[in-house]
Amino acid sequence: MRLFHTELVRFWSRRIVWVTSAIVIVLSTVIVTVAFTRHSADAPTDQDAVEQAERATEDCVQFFTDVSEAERDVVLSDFGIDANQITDEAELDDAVRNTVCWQDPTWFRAEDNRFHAPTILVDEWEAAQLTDWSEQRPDSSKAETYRSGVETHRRANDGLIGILPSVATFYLVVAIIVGASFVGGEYKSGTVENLLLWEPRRVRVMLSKFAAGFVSSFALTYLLLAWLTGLLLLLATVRGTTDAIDTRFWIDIASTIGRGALVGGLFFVASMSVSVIARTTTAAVGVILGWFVVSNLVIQLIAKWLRPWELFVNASAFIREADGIKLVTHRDGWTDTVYHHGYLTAGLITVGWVAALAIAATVSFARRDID
Amino acid sequence: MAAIEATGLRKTYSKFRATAVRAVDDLDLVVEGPGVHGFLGPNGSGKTTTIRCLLGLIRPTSGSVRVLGTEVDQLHTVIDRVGALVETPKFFPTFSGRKNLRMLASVAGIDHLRIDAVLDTVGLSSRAGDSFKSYSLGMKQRLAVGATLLKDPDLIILDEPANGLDPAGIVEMRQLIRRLADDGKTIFVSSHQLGEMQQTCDVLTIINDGSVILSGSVTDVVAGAGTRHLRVTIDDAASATHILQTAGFAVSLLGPGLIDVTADPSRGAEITQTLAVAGRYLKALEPIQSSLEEAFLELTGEPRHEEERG
Repeated sequence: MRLFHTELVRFWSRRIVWVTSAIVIVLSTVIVTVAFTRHSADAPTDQDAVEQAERATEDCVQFFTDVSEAERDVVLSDFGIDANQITDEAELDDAVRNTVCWQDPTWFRAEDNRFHAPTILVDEWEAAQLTDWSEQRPDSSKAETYRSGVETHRRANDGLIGILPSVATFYLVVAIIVGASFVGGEYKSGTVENLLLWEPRRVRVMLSKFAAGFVSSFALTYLLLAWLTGLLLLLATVRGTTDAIDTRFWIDIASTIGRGALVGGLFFVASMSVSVIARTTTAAVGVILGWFVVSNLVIQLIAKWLRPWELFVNASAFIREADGIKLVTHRDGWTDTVYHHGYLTAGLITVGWVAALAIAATVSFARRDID
Repeated sequence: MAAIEATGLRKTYSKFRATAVRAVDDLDLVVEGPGVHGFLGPNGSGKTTTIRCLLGLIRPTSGSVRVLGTEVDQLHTVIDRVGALVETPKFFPTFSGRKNLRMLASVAGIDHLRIDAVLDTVGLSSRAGDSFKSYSLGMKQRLAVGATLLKDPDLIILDEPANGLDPAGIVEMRQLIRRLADDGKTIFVSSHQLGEMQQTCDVLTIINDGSVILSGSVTDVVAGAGTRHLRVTIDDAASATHILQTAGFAVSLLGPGLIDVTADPSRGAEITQTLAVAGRYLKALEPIQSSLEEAFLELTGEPRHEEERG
C-alpha cells in the first residue's frame, strides 16, 4: 500500500501530467469557444422559412433582370405565360415575381443551428431494415448473427454523446504519453534502480505502478472528459437546447465518460508496459502509435480476420458503445463491415490485450538486470 | 554472521553473438562488521557489477550471495537495514531534494521528520527545496548518501561516494564514513581515492578481472603487497651498487652515497653481510614503507603514472 501511495504521489507530481492536461483543457476550451460563435441560441421558426423563401424569390427576380428578353420569354412560356400578352412592366414584374419565381415557404426548412445537448439515438435495427443488407449476406447464418446483434443496439449520431466518444478516443493519446513516460522517465533518470534498493520485490513494484497509474489515468481522463462535458452543456444552455434532457441522457453521459476513462486507464497500463520492455518513453510511444498504423495496414492488406480482435478497434468500439465489427467480402468482391460482437465483449478484448502486455512487462522487469 | 558473504560469484554478459564478457569471475568475498571495508579495483575490474549482484539489481550467472545473513533473493526481509548508493546519484530531476527523499521514505514507511536530520547530516538543508537537476555533482552525491542514511541502516554499501566532491567534501565524506563505522555500522565502500581509502578503511579487498586478488587489513595489504624497498646509505655508492647487483639484488643508484635496493626488509641482514664481506660498510639501512597506491598498482598490474602521484 505504501508503494501504491508513493506511485500515486509521483503520478500527480509529474510535470508531463499537468502539461498534457493543460494542453487538452485549453484546446477543448478553445474549440468550444469557437463552437459558441457558430451556433444560434434560437430555434428555427416558420418566419425563418418565409424569409428564406422571400430571399430565394428576390434572387430569382434579380436573375430575370439580367437575362436577355428572348431567354426570359422562353422561361415565361414554360410557365404558360405568353410574353406578347404582357403590356407593361408592372404586369411583367407580377408574372415573374408571383408565378415564375414564387417560392413556397413550406419548401424551406430553416436550419436548426443550435447545439443539441440531448442525444438523438437511432435504432440500428431500423437502419438495417431500411437497407435490408441481410439479403446480401454471404450466408444466412451470418445474416442472422447480424440481425440479432444490431437488434439490441443503438447508435448515437448527434448531440453531446455523439461528440464525447470521439473526443475520448483522442484523449487516449494523453494516457499513452503519460503511461510511456511514467517508467520511461524512471529508466532515463535511473530512479527505478533507486526504488529497487528500497523495495527489491520487483513484481510488487510493477503491480503498484500499474495500479497507481491505472487509477490516476482513469481519474485524469474522467476529469478531462467531465470538463469538456461541462463546456458542451454550457454551450447547449447558451447556444442550443437542453430541452430533451432526461434521466437516460445523464446515464449515457456518465457511462460514456466512464468507459472513456476506463480505456484511459487501460491505455496507460498498455503504454507503460511497452515502455517497461522498451525502456524509453520515445520507443514506447513509437511502438504504440506504430502498432496503430501497422495493425490497420495488416488488417487491410493481409489479415482481415484480425479486425474483430484488434486492440484499437475494440477500445474505440467499447467507448462508443458500438459493435465490434468484422470485414466480409461479398461474392461480387465488395467488402462490407458487419457485426461481430457487442461493446462489452469489445471491452473485454481490450482488457485482454492490456493484461497480456502487462504480464509480458512484469515478467521482463522481474528477470532483467538493472545496470 | 558476516554482513556480506559472496561465494563463487560469477556474472557473464553475452549480448547477441559478441564474445561473452566475464565481469565477475568466481569471486569470494566476506565483509565482517562493524567497520569500513574498502573495495578496490581498476576500472572494469567488476566492482560495480559485484555491488549490483549484492543488491539484487543483477542476477549472478552462478554463485551465492548473502547479505546480513539472508540470501539475495530474500533481500526484502533485510532491505530496511541496508542502505546503498550505486554509481551515480539517481533521483527524479524535477523533484526537489527533499521531495525525492520523501518519496523514498514513504516506500519504507520512514517518519518524514528524519528527512530533515539526514539533510542536515549531508549539508543540504539550505538547498533541500531546490530541484535535483539544479544541484552540482557534489550536491547530488551528498543527497544520494543522505538517501542511504534515511533508513539508519546497519549495512551501508557505497559505490564511489566521493565522486564529484571537492576536497573539503571528500574530507567530510571520510569523516562521515568513519563516524558511521564508529557508531557500529558496517560500511562497504568502493573508491578510486586510494589515499582516502587508506585513511578510512579498516579492511580492504582488491579485485582485478573480476576476481579477488588480496583481502585483509589495510596494514597487511600495504605491507604484504607493496614493493619492498630498502634505502642504503654508504660512502662508495657506485661500488656498493655493483657488489649488490653481482649478488643478485635489484639495485638503483639514487645519488651520491644513496642506493635503493628492491627487497623485502627481512633481507636487510643479507645486504649488510654482502657489503661487509666485500669490505664495504653501510652507514644506514632503512626500510621504505609502501603506500596503498603502490600496493594497488603492483597487485593490479596497472601502469604507474608519475604525474598522478603528485
